[in-house]
Amino acid sequence: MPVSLASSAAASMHGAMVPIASQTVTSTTYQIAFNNIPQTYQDLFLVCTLRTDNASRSDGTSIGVSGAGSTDFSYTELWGTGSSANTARGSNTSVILARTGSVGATAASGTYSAVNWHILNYRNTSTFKTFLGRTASDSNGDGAVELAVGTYRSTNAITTLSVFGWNGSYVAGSTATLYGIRSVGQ
Amino acid sequence: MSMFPIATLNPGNATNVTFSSIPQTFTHLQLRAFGRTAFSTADWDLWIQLNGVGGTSYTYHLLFGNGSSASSAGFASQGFARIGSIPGSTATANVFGVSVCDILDYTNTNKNKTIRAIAGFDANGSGNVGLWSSVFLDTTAITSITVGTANSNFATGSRLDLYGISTSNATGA
Repeated sequence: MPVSLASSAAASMHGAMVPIASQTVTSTTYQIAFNNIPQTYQDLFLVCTLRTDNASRSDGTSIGVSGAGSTDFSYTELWGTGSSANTARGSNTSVILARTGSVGATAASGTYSAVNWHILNYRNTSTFKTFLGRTASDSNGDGAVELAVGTYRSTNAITTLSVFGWNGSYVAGSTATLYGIRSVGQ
Repeated sequence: MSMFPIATLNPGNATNVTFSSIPQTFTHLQLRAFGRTAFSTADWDLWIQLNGVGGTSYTYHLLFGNGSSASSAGFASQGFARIGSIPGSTATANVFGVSVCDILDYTNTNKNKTIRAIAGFDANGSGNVGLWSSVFLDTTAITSITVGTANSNFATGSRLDLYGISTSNATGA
């Protein structure tokens, strides 16, 4: 259940980056969701620390929108593992994937990935929505750094966001905090 | 540390637009670009110039992936800093690229200015994502930022937002 953070009003004490809601996983969960996102900001910024129960030192993370069609997304990835630089693309997908964006069950205890997603112009009803993600994870012998960009091919304003594990579910201690980025006059 | 909105520009179909008279009260700047070019191409450069200076005052490097190959390149003695690439008119309609670009220590008159950007777009079968870094070989404090696409016009719907990042209690616009 997301915790709504105290006062999302654009007070000067918050500046441009205003906390909307935050969640900490207390029991293993498939997704972390934010619903009823206020339509009062210019951009959204999602900050996560993630670990899944995937039987590996690594896992991916994906982001999507509730009610989206199964082919409404596409994405391009760039990632480095310490031994190679790689790129891949997904077309007509149900989510945007960052395939190295989480650590898995056999990563060093207490290790979580760091993930940011920028969603600019999230409520513009004339354009598709572009997501820009940056992920980082390292578990002393495994890990990756990744950039991912994706498009939600819809002109609908974004009112929900969900992050999902790729192969596993998020374990206790995983967190996600959603911020609104306000522009001049907001 | 706090982030404050300074100004917004909607380029319309302009070739380039300028944030001028940038307040000197912050520590860092962040430019957030949502852009598309009217140029007849699949993708095109997004660039900035600082204080109206071009010439050979910039160098930049990039790490870049397009779904097929991951590549890196460097360019010296350039007239602008690259902060990403955006879709052109032949890309899928309504797709826009984004760039989140940081300029650290922009008022420091003892340092050349380093520019860091993450950027990309995806047009369902085309597009790219990457990291761009540039240096402006000039220690002058930054008072203006011009944003443009190489010899082409922005497409309607593009938007640029400039933010100041403060490490004190200074406030912005």
